[in-house]
Order: sequence, then C-alpha cells, then structure tokens
Amino acid sequence: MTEAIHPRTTAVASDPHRTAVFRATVRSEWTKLGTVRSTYWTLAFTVVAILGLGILFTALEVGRWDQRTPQEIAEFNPLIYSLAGMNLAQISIGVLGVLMMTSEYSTGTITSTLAATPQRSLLLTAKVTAFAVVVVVVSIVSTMAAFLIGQVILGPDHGGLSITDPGVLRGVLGGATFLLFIGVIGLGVGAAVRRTTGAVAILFAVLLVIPGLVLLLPSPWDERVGQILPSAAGEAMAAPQQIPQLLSPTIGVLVLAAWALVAFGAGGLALARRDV
Amino acid sequence: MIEATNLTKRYGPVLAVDDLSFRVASGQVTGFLGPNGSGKSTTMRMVLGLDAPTSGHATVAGRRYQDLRFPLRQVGALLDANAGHPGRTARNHLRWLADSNVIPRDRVDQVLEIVGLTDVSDRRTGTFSLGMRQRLGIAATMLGDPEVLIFDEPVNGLDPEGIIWVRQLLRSLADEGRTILVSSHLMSEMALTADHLIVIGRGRLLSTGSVADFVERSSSHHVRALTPDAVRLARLLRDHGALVTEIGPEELSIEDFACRDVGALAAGAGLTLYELSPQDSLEDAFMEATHEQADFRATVHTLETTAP
Ligand SMILES: Nc1ncnc2c1ncn2[C@@H]1O[C@H](COP(=O)(O)OP(=O)(O)OP(=O)(O)O)[C@@H](O)[C@H]1O
Ligand SMILES: [Mg+2]
Repeated sequence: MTEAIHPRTTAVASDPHRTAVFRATVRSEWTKLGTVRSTYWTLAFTVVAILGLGILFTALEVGRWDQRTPQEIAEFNPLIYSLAGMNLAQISIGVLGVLMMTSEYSTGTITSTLAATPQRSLLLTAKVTAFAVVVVVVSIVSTMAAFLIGQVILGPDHGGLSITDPGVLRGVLGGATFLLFIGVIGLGVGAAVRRTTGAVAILFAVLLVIPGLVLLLPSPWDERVGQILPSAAGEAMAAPQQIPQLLSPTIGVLVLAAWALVAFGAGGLALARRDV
Repeated sequence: MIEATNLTKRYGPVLAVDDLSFRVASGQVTGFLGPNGSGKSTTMRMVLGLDAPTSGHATVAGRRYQDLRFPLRQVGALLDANAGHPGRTARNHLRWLADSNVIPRDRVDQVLEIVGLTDVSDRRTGTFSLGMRQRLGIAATMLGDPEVLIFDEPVNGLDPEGIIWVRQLLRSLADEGRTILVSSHLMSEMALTADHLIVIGRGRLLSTGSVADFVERSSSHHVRALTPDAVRLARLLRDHGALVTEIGPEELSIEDFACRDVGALAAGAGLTLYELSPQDSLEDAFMEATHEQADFRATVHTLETTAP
C-alpha cells in the first residue's frame, strides 16, 4: 500500500544519494563525538592505560631480570609486556562504544538523530565508521608508542625487539584491531540494550566475568570455550606468534570479528525494529 | 503538506491513536489540540517516523518521512525541548545537526541569532532554563529552512514575552507559505495562534475546521456584565427576551445576546456598566468537545460533599 504512494524510484535507495547521506552522517557523528567530554576522558584513559601499564610492566621485568625462573625466561615475550595495558584499555574503549548509543537514549538525542537521519541501518553504519576512525587512530598510535618505549626500556640486553622482527608489527596492529572490535561490540550491545547500565554490565560480563567462569568447566571445554572468548581472541591477535592454548592470530581475528558482527547485527535489528 | 491516513498506534492494551486521518495545509498555522494523553505526541512521532504506526501511514510533502533525503531541509520538528546532551554547547548541538544534513555552518549562527541565544551559544545546554531550551529547539527546527514545521507544545516553559514571540514567529512562518503544525492543550493560546484546528480525544479525531467555525459550532455564546445595578439590568434584559443568570451581586451572565445589544440597553436605561465582555471562549468549546474523551479528569470535592 505504501509502495503505491511512494514509488521506489523516489526513495533514498539510489546510490549517489546514499553515499551523500552516509558521508554527512559520519561527519555529524564525528562532531557529536568531539563535542562531549566523555569522549576525551575515555580516550585519555585508554592512552594512559596502554602507555602506563606497558612501561610499568616492562620496567618491573627489567628490575627483576636476574631473579627470573628458567620457565619465565623461556616464556618471556617483550611484546606482551609492552601491551599489558590492553586489558584495561578494552574496558574504556568498550564503554566508549556503549556510550555512543546509550547516551543517545539517556539524553533523548536519539529523537533528533533519527529525525536528521531516518535511514536507521545507514545511521548505525555511519556511527560505527566514525567511531572506528577515532579508535583506530588512538589505538594504533598508543600501542605503537607502548611497544617502542617498551623496547627502549628493555634494550638489546634484555631481549628488546625491533618492529621488523617476525610477527611483531602484526602483533602491534593486532592489539589495536582488538580494541576496535571490542569497541564495536560495545556499540552493538549499546544499540541493542539502550540503557548504559545494562549494556556496560553485559560488556563487563563478556570481557571480565565469563572468562573466570569458563575456567570452572570440565576439561577440555574450559580451554575450547575459553579461547574463543573476545579477550582470549584478542590476546592471540596481539602475540607475535601463536601462544599455546590460544587460537592462531588469524583465527583470533576471525573469531573476534564474528563477535563484533553478532553484536552489531543485534544492535542493528533493535534499532530497525523498535520504536524510539 | 502533512497527511495522515488511518493512523493507528497501539501500545499493548493502550490505543494511543485510533484511525486518525487529517491533512495539514500550507500557508496557515494548524493547531493540534487534545487533552493530556490524547495522542498528540504519538501522532507527531509517527509523522516523523520515530514510532512505526500499528496501521495506516503518514506522509510529509507526499513522501514517507524515511524516504526524505536530507529531511531537516524539508521538515523541522521540536518534540521535546529537554532532549539533547546536557554537556554539549548550544552551538555544537546545532553544528552536528547541520552537518548531518549538509547545512552550511553559517546557518547555525543565523538561527541562534533569530531565537536570541547568541550570547549563550557557547554554554552547555545542561545549564539552560526550560525557556532557553525551547528556544534552542525552535532554532534547530529552522536550521534547514524547511517548508514544514512541527512543534509539540512550543510555548511550554516560556514567559509571556516568549509566548508572544513564538506566536509571532509561527504567524510569520505561515505567512511565508510554510506548513505549520503546533500542538497544545491551551485552547486560549490556539485561539490567538492558529487559523485551523484539529481536535482529538482518546486518539480519535473529534473535529477539524477553522478556529472561528469551531467556536461557532460547539460553544454557546454568552456575555458577562459587571454592574452595580445587576437586578435592574437583569430585569431589563429579561424583558427583551434574554436568558440571564445572576452569578454574583454585581455579575451577570447573558446568553445569546451580543455585547453591543447589552450595552445599548443599559445606556438607554441609564445603568452603569463596569465591564462587558464576550465569553465565547475556545476553552469552553474545547471542554465541550473533549469532555467525554478526557482521560484524566480531576474530581472536585466540594465542602458540601466531603463535610460530615
Ligand atoms: N512508549 C509508550 N508506551 C506505552 N504507552 C505510551 C507510550 N507513549 C505514549 N503512550 C500512551 O499513549 C497515549 C497517548 O500519549 P501521548 O503522549 O501521545 O499524548 P499527548 O496527547 O501528547 O499528551 P500530553 O498532552 O500529555 O503531552 C497515552 O495514554 C500514553 O500513556
Ligand atoms: Mg504530548
């Protein structure tokens, strides 16, 4: 019935239109992100966590260099020490993703947002894009800086790596990609749940609580389930080579991408189907 | 033009909007009236595509809202003045809106100027009074210089000066040929602002027509007179066939008589009048039209009924 009144040809469907609307929406979302304090706080927290913890753990290791057990020496991985802050950074980036949707609902901004951009799936895609650009820049710069500073602290005497060593660049970028995916998961959960408290609770459960519970599963399920959780997949991605009991870096990326896709899909469905 | 066709919205057991059809024409201010909970906001949300109708549909300029490309350039809407991030400044709020529909940023300063918020444009909206938020919301509606404007109770929270300003703004926007839909439950406000009325109760259309027609159709006309000679004036008017009610020692209510007739009779008899005013108010008409439909009617307990 509506089709008769609004022939498809007059709809937004044609591609140049969609592209123009998409670009405008990404720009608008950028303006939104850049004009509230919470963005700066969460990003500052992320940078401080990655640099601070990376430097701290690397320096501690140098300090006790001569007291290390043979096993610790065998397992020592400078990259992992440099990226120790990822565990904390996943929280702030995840929360930033959540807030990108839930603050729309808590402040009532969603009404203006959808009045400005009624194409809901396009809106969500534009939000993810604007978010991704910011997160990618911040996380690549800070993981790279954490790695480089960490290697300066270690130096050649304590097993410092070069970015050109095998698997190192991929590990650093893997860490940054991990943060991006966690952020997208947060955004998707935020869109699906709409309330900040509920969405943050779900995010924390997935990132922090469930990994602990999975350890209680009978073997070999503890390991099988444990390795496909987002944090474990992220650990696999940020490693220079495969770590025992974790996925390979490539499978890790795919598993985490699947998580992000599921969350994004759930958020997209809720946004498309439900009233505001 | 805005058009609603058999619009229906059901929230669980609540039928918020019930088979509502209407057209809002351009070049005039159309008042959308109904008591609390009658479905005004819900109807506006469906027009804007925020809530999906259970059945029926609404179009703006002949299209579904979702099919408008840069909708802010065609439709400006103010639904809730309190909506918006409290930590964002007024200017930044308008900037992201402008960006979303590729509206030049110069326009942001223009609309801030129009609504008189230039001086506070760099303050966070969380520090704004309700009246300032209404002004910001009105500024947002005008960003894209749209042909269609929709306001949900825009004078809510405004001081008398602000109310007159909104009234004049709506009038000038209509005079420019735009389509204006403005909701209110203040009938008296609509009498001064609107040309045309759509009256609803419990989600159903009760009446549409010009403001004048509406009063004509549904209200009994009467005149209020204040006089020290109430008894004599009442007798005189009754002799001339008027139906007179003595409201107070100096106050009369006269049915179906125009002010000029009452005044002429009083002057002829040498009676003093302190006040003479027509009482064919829209408020009465509104109460009459929606009385049956009001969802939330206050129960008045008088001393007589509650005294032991
Ligand atoms: N999201 C919702 N969920 C459930 N019921 C709703 C929802 N929104 C509105 N309603 C109900 O729909 C009816 C119409 O509400 P609406 O807000 O449209 O009325 P209104 O005419 O705007 O009232 P007011 O003059 O008080 O603003 C009310 O009974 C209300 O309780
Ligand atoms: Mg309302």
